[in-house]
Amino acid sequence: MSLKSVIRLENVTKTFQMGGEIINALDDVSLTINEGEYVAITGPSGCGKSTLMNLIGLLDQPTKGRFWLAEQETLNISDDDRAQLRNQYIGFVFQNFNLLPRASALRNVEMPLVYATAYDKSVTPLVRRKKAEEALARVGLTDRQDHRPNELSGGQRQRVAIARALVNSPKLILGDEPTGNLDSRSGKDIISLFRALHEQGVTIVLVTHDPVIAAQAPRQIAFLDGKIVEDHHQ
Amino acid sequence: MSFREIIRLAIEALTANKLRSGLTMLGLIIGVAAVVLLVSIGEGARKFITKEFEGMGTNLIMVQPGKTDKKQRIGPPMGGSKEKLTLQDVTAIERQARNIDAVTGVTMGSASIKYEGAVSNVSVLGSNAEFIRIFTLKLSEGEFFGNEADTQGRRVVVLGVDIAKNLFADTSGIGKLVKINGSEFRVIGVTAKAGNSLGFNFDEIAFIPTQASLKLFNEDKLLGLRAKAKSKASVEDAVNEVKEILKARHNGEEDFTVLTQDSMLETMNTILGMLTYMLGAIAMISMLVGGIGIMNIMLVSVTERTREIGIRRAVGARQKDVLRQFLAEALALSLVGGLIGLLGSVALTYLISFATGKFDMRAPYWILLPAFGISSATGILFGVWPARKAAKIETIEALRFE
Ligand SMILES: Nc1ncnc2c1ncn2[C@@H]1O[C@H](COP(=O)(O)OP(=O)(O)OP(=O)(O)O)[C@@H](O)[C@H]1O
Ligand SMILES: [Mg+2]
Repeated sequence: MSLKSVIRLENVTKTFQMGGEIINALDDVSLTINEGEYVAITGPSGCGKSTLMNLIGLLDQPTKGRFWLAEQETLNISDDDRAQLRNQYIGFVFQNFNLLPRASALRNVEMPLVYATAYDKSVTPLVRRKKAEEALARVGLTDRQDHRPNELSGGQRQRVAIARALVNSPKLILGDEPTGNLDSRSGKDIISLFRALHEQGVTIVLVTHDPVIAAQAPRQIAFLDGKIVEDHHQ
Repeated sequence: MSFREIIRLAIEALTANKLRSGLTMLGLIIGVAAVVLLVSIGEGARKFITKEFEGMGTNLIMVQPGKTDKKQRIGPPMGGSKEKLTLQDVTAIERQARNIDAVTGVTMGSASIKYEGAVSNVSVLGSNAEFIRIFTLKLSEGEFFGNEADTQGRRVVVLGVDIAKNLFADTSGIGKLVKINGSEFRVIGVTAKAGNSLGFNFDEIAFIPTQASLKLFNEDKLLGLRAKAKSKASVEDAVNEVKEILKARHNGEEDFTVLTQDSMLETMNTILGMLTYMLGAIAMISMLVGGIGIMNIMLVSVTERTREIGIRRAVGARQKDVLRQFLAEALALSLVGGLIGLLGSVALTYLISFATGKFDMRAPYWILLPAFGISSATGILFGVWPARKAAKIETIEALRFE
């Protein structure tokens, strides 16, 4: 049985123009990540890690090259289909959390499910609430579910963002420094949570600056100046 | 996103900034209220005038000199130059018309009226003895002049109650001699207080016999004829009769216009109906202003919430979900605003009607649905553009928005 690829990039370049300057945030990157893999991405600040995650998460599009998600070419799919994949297939943990400031932790976690109703009518408000509470429990925030983001610590916000990424049971979890704001203990808790998900067959891609966390990943990819400089399977 | 969720989000967004939502709605509240109030005033005026008309003597027929074009029948023509109606026309109708109960010629002029030191400038109306019956005029003192007074050209006068008060204060004027434009007239009656009716006030008019008035103003033609049909049912026959008689006397030419109370009412209704629609249409402009207010606030809101839009899109909101969310907010603003404006203005029209007692300007039912419909449509119309703008924002740009 051949492995299914979840992510496949072929000669992907992402260029930004800043004034007169042209920056290749990603420079001719080719990469395949298969179903069930657990990958850590490392590299110095500004080397293009977030840019890569945004492309994989269907938030942005490459300037050049091709990208398959779940073996589906993504270049020409409709905006609605991209939205559906973001909702049903991917769980994204942002580097800066991206929580709605006016909504409670619970409502923030519920949000992906609100849009999931379009594909699955069984996601009623009651089901939604139950799932959101479960997700918050998994990150240890049951007692904070009615707090707004500005009433939470940085680490707690990060965990709300993680709960939101988990809530719709995605096949692929993308974490852009998901433990960046956590102390080493809760960082470990989150990593064991990702482990557990990985054991259930979820594909996981994490960006991290923490060498300890990176070392625990079965596969480590190092970036420098928009290029892969090391791709290491343990 | 379910319908329920859209409503919930819209209500949350609007209650999050109550003052702003309230002020935005105010524009539409005023717009809807303006439409309802102006239309109600127009309708009220129509009802009021209709009532006044109907109280103005029944089965009334008016003949004015001059032909009226069928196309432009708005109001009677005022005293044509060549065409004239004379006292002989009155006599002919008196003798020949079988469906006419009473007929008089009328003249109208202004004159000064003097008694000892007191002077009044008044309207002088010339008529025969039938006038009092045709217009159901009531006297408080003395009596109206009889037919022989008219035919003999006697100089007698019945004073409107206000004139009598002005000349004689609280004493009776009956039997006194007054000077109208220098000629002496004997006061034989005073009218009872009647008040203003359609801008025509019998209390301020001096009534004298036709012969005397033609002499006074040195005229030989009448302002017109006023007649009363025997019954409501015979008005049409009476009109035809009058036309035949007058045509025969005027060399077969219809150089006059016959109006009935019904035809005047009809004309009046047409004019006032048009006025009502026009007022409503003008008020619609304020609705437009309200709509622009909604659009303005929605555009601000879209910009302010760019990041929220990015986050929603990132977790799976489609363009149409964002569109619906913002459209629902605009619609909620206009629905609530429209409803408040509607209820407020309807309540106000009822309040005013009961407070004045006389002027019934209660909002007509037919305006409610269009007023509410148009205000809702305004919300959708002016909400579409901001909502489309929100839906078109690029996800990644929105997430980077500070
Ligand atoms: N929208 C943009 N416009 C212009 N330049 C951008 C934009 N986004 C990213 N870049 C540039 O692309 C390069 C890669 O940025 P990226 O955010 O991917 O870095 P990173 O590896 O995630 O860094 P960090 O570890 O600090 O998060 C940087 O040089 C950055 O300045
Ligand atoms: Mg980054």
